[in-house]
Amino acid sequence: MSEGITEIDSNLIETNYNNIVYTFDELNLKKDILRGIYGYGYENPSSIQQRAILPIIEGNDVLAQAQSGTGKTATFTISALQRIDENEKSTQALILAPTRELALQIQRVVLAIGLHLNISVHASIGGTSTRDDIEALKNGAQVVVGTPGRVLDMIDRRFFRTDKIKMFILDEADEMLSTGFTEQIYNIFRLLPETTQVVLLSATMPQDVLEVTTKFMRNPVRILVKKDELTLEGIKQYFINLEKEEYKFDCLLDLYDSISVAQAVIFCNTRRKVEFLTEELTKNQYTVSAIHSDLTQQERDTIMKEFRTGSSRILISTDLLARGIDVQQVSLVINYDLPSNKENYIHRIGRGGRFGRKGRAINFVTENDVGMLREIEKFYSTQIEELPGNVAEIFD
Amino acid sequence: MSGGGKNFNQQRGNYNNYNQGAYNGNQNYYYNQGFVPGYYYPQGAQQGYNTYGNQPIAYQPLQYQTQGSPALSRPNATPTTPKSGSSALATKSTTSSPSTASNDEAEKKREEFKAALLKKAQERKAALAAAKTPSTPATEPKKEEVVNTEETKVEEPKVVEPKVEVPKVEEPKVEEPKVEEPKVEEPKAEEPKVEESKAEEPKVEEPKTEEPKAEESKAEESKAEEPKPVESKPEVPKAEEQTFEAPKVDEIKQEIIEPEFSANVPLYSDLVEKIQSFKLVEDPFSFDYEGKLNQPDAKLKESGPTLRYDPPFLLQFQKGCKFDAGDKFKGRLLFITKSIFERPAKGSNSKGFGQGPIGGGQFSKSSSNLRRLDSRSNSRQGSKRKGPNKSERKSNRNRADREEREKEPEVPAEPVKPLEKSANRWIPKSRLAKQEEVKYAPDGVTVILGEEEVKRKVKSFLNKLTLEFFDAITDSIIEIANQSRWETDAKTLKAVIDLVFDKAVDEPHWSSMYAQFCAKIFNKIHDEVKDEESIKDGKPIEAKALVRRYLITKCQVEYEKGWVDKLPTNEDGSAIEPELMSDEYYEIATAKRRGLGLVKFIGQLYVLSLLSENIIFACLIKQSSNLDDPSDDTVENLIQLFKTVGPTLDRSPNDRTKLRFNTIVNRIAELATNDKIPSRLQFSLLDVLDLRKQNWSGGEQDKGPKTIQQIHEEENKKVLEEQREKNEKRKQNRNTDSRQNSTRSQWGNNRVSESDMLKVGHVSNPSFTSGPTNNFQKSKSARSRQFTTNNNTNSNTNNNNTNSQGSSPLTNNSTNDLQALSSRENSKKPSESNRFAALLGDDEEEDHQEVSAEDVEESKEQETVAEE
Repeated sequence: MSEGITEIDSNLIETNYNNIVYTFDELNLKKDILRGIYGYGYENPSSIQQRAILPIIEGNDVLAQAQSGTGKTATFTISALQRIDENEKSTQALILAPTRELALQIQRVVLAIGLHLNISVHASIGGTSTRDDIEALKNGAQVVVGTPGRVLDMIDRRFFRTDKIKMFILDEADEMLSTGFTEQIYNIFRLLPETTQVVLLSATMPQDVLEVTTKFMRNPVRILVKKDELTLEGIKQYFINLEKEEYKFDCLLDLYDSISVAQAVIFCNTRRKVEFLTEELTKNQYTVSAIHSDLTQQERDTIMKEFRTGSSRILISTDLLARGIDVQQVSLVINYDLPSNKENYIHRIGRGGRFGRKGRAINFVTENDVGMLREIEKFYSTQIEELPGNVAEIFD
Repeated sequence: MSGGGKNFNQQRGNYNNYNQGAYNGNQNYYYNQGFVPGYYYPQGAQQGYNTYGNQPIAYQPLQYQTQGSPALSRPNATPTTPKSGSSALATKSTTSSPSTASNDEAEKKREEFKAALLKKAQERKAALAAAKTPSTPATEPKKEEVVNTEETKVEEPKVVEPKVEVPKVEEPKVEEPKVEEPKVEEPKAEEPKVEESKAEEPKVEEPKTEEPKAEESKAEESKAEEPKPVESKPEVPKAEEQTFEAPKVDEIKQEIIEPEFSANVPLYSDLVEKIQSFKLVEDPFSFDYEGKLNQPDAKLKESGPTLRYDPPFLLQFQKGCKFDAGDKFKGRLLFITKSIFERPAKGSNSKGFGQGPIGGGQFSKSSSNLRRLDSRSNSRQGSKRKGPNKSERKSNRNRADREEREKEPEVPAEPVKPLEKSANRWIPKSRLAKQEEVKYAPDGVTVILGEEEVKRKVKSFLNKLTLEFFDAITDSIIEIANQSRWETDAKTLKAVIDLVFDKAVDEPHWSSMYAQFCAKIFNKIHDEVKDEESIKDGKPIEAKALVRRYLITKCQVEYEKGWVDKLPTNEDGSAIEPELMSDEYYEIATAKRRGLGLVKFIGQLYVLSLLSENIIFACLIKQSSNLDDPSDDTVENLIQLFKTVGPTLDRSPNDRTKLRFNTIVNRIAELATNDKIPSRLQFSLLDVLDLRKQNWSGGEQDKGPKTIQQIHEEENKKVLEEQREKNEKRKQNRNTDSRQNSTRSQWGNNRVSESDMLKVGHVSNPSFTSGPTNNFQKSKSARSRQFTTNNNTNSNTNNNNTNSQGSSPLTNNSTNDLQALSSRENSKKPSESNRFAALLGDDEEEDHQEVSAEDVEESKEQETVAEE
């Protein structure tokens, strides 16, 4: 793309394993896992899944550097499920995560993908009853997902028997080591059988992570996966020359008369404008969800859910939320205001990975925006055309 | 060089004089800058150099410093300061007063002028007027400033520089006397400023040099631009109030004379060398201008250390300053001048002056942050810009502000041509003149819409159709469709149904909603609607039958087309593996989406009894007929249709239906074991069979769109359930755990609740803060749901509860929400789904209260445990 986009840092580890598998079918997984995978919504393996699942299943120590959102969790989940002996009712895989929320999330993924397997999964995390933990561990939870503190505690107190553990998986290792879990992790390591396979996943490879890898891993397979970069490729970009700010709203309505829109995201630069638009559109019987930075996470989630489920058809947002909005039905992004800095442009309209609908973006441009428009074009070496008269065909 | 070397030299001489005496004034500063251009002279005319060399010794070695220092030493400077400080008026008219002042003391002639100015200054408004009078010179600087601000270094550096500098000097004096003094008295004080940016330094000495540097990248542009700024000068003056002396302008012009330089972009060091080789004009008043120019007005000669020139003299240089601007720049210039004129002069002046220092300060700050790379031109702009600039280039400032806010180092946009309007651009209807004639229906009241208008309106309605506004929007569409009763061919109805169909197929996510809409059209269509072209039993089909006919025909046609043949293929007909996000990829995705969307829509129409069971079975049987080697798309269609209609068929009381349905189920079971089918589809088949076993719960009907209320209820429910689970666990803990354990877990709990508490307090105080919940409410109310004021009181009391309970913040929180929800529900008219929602909500609330009651108990229990 352009020089303006910062590359994901540090190529500290280099991939030394190049066996790539392009379909889940080729992995020779247990049927029930495969069914779980498809049922979970995957059709084809992501980049890291193509590369990392196989070596993990083969029993290698694996060191993978990948950003979140690349399908990491499913990667080690699938591998772990494949390696577990369903009939052996004792803990065979231990997964550590830096936060309780992440641990719970991982547990859910393991349960979903392992839906058709007879496998017990337990989340052993702080802030919950130790009694549950003890019970579940006694019953031989085959997969334990936990946070380091609680897990170490359970092991220390002999409720958690580690002798059958085959796999030790560290998710977000850099996070864990930077939040003071180092000692617990080392202690846990020491209490595991020597033959335990170690899988470490991390977004970055700082010194302390590398240390762990050298201390506990034997000839690890190293895999580096970059996140699918956001791209403007394949996204049709247009502008409408509106001259004046006051014309924008009417133009928006007119646009909605002219083209077919399943769902749209509209970006404004200020919260005030978000509120203004929300109000005006609602008056016109548009169902709108508005999201901005002053909402709590829970409120945001709820509002995003409104939009995702199709309860509303328009999402109005400020830049702060531009990252990570991906809704399959979104067929149009409207920059009601051009972003105030050009980096945000790609976060607003760019896409990573596959999308159900072709991307289209319309920029509302006033006299004062022309400079920014040109700058964006230059920055991304892209072309933003004036919206042509035959819009209906384009937005077919 | 066209201007003639001699002239320049003379001016230089003047320059020197300035340095010695009158310089402190801002204007003086100007002059210096103006002079600087003279350096270039050497190239053009070397005669003058000699003169130059004598006086400006200090000047040459440290150009920037010199400039500053002379000014300081002057007597004039002191007077200025007091003036500015004394009256607010002075501040406003700063430009005028300082300049006047500086010259004044030395020159008695000038005093008159001064006096006039002072008077004016005292009368604020008058001051403005005064400024206008001297306007020509004053204007120039301003213009330049404007240009700079607006953009971008494109403008001629020469012109710009002098102007820019002037403001700097002026500002300090006028606004802050203290600041001024140091500057005046101590050359060094000024020096830093000058030095701040290399650009400035060069400016002072040689405007030309500076220009090139600043514009380095834009060297070409700068050349082109130069002439224009000069031209624009006359215009600017009026707008601005600064009372500059004429000579200044002249100097500036002189600088401008040499276009070549701008192109060259000489290095600073080169400039210094060149300057040293210049000769000064010893006495500009007696200097021989080779007949090309008239000498300056001799009256001004006496004015003391500061050299002054009369406007006519300076204007002579104007000719030499004209250069051809490139087309590119001309476009920009238009833009610039336009914006200048659009600004109200008066307002901007007073405002500008008042805010001057602040504005300038900010600016330099931002500019230094923002543009370190071009620090030259930028810092120059920044430090030299004074208040007036700010007000003048409002638009620019806005952008700068915004950038600053974002803390994104953004290079200022280059001057840009206004957008050209392409010939076939889309024009919003609101921007078109409306000239459609209105037609009335035979009833004389109803307006008949033209075909295009129907399409436009229906499209728009469909684009915003949601369950939220379902009733209102669909009513409007049906109203449009009903205009078919005055048509013989029901073309409007047909058009509406076509549009709905297309939309439904393209947006499978909402297909149940569109099907519902079709059912509504079916029920609400006007009885008189008929299509005389569709004859059944010898009569034109009417109303409901017609709707159904249109729908079935449309479905049938599309269904039979299938979607596989719409996929792009290789030349040999084999399926292609499209690259992600390529056009082909989206073509395939679209074809598939619409294919499956159609099947789903057909299923939904059946569920709503718009299609007959027979049609559905025909489809199911056809799709499941090939058990040996079915194509992927047939299987996908089958799965989709089965999922959609399964629940309805399965629950049919009709034995025959059941029987037929079981056949389909068996076929699916058989297909699921066929290894020729890709495993993903095999599993899908297994999944739908499982779905049936689970009595279809969690199936399709749970996944469609919902009202926003439903969403919120679900979310609340989720929170509640989590909470309940927690509570239960906690109870168990308490009962069975060893003491040690329970203490431990309690620790954990306390920690959690503490952090949650904070959140709760935040959330449940919506009425008092402008915080998040407020907005939340706002958006809700925007959707025309009323909050009862109750809600506020509720949240307050709950908040209190929370505080006392401590351990169950979440519960309370959600109670609030629930109450809010139910109050909203009450105010909403009960559509079907809403009623359902309302029921749910009530349940919730009751549960809820129970839970929170439990909670209180629990927290008590906990306390006791802790005490133990």
